[in-house]
Amino acid sequence: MGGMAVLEWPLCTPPGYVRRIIPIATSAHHSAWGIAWGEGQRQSIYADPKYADGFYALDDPPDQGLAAARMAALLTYRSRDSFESRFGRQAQEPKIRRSGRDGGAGPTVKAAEARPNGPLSPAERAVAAHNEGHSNTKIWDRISSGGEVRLRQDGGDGIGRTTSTATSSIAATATPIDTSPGDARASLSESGLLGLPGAPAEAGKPLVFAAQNYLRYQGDKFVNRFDANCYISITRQMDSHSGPFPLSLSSLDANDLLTL
Amino acid sequence: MSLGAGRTLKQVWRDRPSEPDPLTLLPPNALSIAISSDGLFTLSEQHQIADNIPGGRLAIIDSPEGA
Repeated sequence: MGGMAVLEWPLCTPPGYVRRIIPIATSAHHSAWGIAWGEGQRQSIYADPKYADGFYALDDPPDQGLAAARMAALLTYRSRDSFESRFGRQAQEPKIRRSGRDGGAGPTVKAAEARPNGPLSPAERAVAAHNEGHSNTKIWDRISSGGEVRLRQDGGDGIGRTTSTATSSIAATATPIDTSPGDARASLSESGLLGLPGAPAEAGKPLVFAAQNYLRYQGDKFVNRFDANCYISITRQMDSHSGPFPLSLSSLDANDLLTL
Repeated sequence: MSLGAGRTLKQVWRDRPSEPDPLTLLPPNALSIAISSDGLFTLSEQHQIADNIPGGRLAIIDSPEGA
């Protein structure tokens, strides 16, 4: 985006106003490849239920979609070999990933909420394993807050959708505890989420790869400093970048009074 | 959208000049910088910029890291 502006500014300002440019890793026109990456990122935002056609509450924005868009963008900033040399198949201990803005401290789980409430049932464990990395799944309420998640049987198809039933009575019995992030992870271990059958774990190793954690960290960090609507608008502006560059002042005449 | 008798934004876009190549109008002697493994803004696209800006030069950073 910055490189595109470097190419366009000299043509949108009086001649000589921009005397030198150094275009770095940009293009004279945004390629089909670039447009497609941008489209995938916008669709990630659209798919977040909180997006609400862009009229979302500023204190409850579509962070999951924006984080997913950021993850995709990060892949375009690196290369296959870069990821391979940096992460390989290195595995890491899973962390609870929570969506939403956490007082600027990032969306990591609030350690004080970590309070296992008895062992998970096999079905709950399966749901939790299936949703590993999903930052807003209800199963984390069950694990991290001591709330209760009831699995609804839908037409006898086995695992139904999860329904959070954390109630005031449950909350009343939850005693605040001072735990560290390490304790939060410990609760994951205690709840049986490590090394679950079907999880992408190698023998004896935790189930999350470093490459995954890198994307999650970057995505979750990004939402604290960027707005989803702005992201949509900026990526769309990149799509429109093409030579002949649009709307340079020389292409306008005195009768053109434009509003955007 | 336009006010008064001017052209609409769409018309301005449609009527934008196609010649000359706007790259030839940029400040001369620009230094373009490329990363060899950039998969989004590829090396060939950096060549296009450097080759069409008058006096343009291209520096290639040979790196496997992408950009």
